[in-house]
Amino acid sequence: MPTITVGDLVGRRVVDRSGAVVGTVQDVVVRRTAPGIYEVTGLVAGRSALAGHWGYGGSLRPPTPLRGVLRWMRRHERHVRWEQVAAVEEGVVRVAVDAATLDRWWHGREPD
Amino acid sequence: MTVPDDDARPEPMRLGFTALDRQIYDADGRSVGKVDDIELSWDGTAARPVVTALLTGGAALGPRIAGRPGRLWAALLRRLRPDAPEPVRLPIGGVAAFRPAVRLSSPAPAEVWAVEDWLRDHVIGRVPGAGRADDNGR
Amino acid sequence: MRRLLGFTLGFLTAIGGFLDIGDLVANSLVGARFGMSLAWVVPVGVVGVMLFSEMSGRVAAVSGRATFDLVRERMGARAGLVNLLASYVITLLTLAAEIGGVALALELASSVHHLLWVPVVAVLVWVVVWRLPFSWMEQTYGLLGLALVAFAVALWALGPDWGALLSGALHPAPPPGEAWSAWWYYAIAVFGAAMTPYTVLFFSSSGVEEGWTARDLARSRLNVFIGFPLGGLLALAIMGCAAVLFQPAGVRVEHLSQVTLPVAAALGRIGLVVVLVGVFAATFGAALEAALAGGYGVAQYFGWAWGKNRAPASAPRFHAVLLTTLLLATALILTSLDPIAVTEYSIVLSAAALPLTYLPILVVANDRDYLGDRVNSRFTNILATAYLALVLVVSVVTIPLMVYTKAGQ
Repeated sequence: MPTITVGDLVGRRVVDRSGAVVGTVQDVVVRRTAPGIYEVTGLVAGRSALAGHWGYGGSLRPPTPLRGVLRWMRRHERHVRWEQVAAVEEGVVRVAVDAATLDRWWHGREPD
Repeated sequence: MTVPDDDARPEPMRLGFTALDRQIYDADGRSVGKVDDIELSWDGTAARPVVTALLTGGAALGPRIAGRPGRLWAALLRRLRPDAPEPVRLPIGGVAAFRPAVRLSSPAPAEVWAVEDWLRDHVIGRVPGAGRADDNGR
Repeated sequence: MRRLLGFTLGFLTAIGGFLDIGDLVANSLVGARFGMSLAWVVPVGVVGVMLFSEMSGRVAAVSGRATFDLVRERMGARAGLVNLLASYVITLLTLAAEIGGVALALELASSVHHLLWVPVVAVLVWVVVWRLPFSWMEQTYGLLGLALVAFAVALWALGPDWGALLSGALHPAPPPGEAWSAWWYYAIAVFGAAMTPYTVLFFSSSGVEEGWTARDLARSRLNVFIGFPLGGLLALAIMGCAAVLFQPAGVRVEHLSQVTLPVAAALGRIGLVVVLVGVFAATFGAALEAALAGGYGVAQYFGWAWGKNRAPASAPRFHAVLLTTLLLATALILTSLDPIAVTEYSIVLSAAALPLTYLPILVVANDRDYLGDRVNSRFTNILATAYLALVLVVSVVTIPLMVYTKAGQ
């Protein structure tokens, strides 16, 4: 069965239907559907790897002074649902829709 | 020591954030290494890939550090030397929990300990006192 | 009564363990050349190292994991590797400087050339790490390092003009004949000497090795908040001694013998013996910590078994790295480079690498997954972010300044 690694996916360019660059793959989103089964539900695409590590919605809170800076650095971040991925090619992930229609948040809600 | 099984919740989680680069302990509590990469596979007709294994070891970490050129290089090497070291593969079925660190439900496969055993037998273990932990003298 | 003893032991160890060859050389050199005009850098450095040591210790006590262990988890493999490389190289250089410092102290005591002492020192460091228990190790060199209080006694005995010293400290500007660029360069040196990366690396891992829990947190905080400032006062005493003895004569400090001269001048032979014991203990302790920090960093990045307390056979890769680090540092010093010069470079480069080594600590200390609700308070975050900005500026400025002033000429 065909396999790919997360390390291989992360860093690939993400382009939308019209060929515009959305960003690079920052992370892979999975959901536990059954014990031991973790299904890929989507990708996180963005431009800043450093800011991405501060993980909104996760357990990592940015220190107050940096919160605004990090929010600004992560303004390009988008969530690509797996169904919206048209093809995974060498170095590129092609998305079937336009960049403007992509979800903003990977976890479905505004971060605190 | 029981590990909280936060992953029982069906909420989405970011693999890079929660699983990648985490410390792996086996069932005996020994340090196995870090999650150097995660393998995803398409199973038959299912549209969405699933996580099939955790990869650890230098062969898995190398391509991640070097980025895309590193992966191309590793692929080239594999083609030239078919018996090149493969990363250690830990099937997802053997993972008991992800947070706060990855815990396996069984002892780690023997290949993980290759370098450790060699060093123990040939270098460190030869020095007197290698087998004794520090007595605290309190 | 026993608790009081244990508590005193803790912060006494912190004082003795705070100073190393970098502080001795930097403060003495600066005092001789610039008087007390750079005294303000010491409190800035002390507050910084207190802040990040507290964070480091808190992470160890609450999560049971060492800070560096968590750096790769939080920042990713690539950022973690950059951090590791920077920390390792700096720590290696520092270790070489400390071994050189111990050898110099032995040379002063015995008149045997320091290069002959270097292999002896390296073997001694390794034997102590291999066999001596942690607490024993820390307490011994911590308490013996207190002998450095001879600098404070010497300063008082020299009967300086306290008013002049104070006014020198309150007027931060280079004395006549010295350029601002050199002054700022040495400000960075004193800062880097106070905020050495191996301190926080070691502090966190040793906390895990000693099995700190949330209960030990209060005690470790007290050690840091009382011990480090007192260590800072000793650093200022070293600066003052040099300022009093050397600055009026325009003599520059270039040898360890000059660093200890004020004590010999003020307190005679007894004073010299005491201060040499102190120098030996402080630099030897720092060498132990730096060697261990090198091993901790590499082992924790790759997820190997690590620990000084456990049987070496159960953590062979960690011990192999430790041994290699020690051999590399010894080789470096055996190339007969001047240990004082190595020290200067190690502290300045430490200052340049501070953002790489300190940012991850700040990131980890804000993660609820590891710390629960013991994450940084808003005040800590504001202060730490301010320091981050400071170390970023310092880091950017250091190398150009080093080139421009030809390393402080």
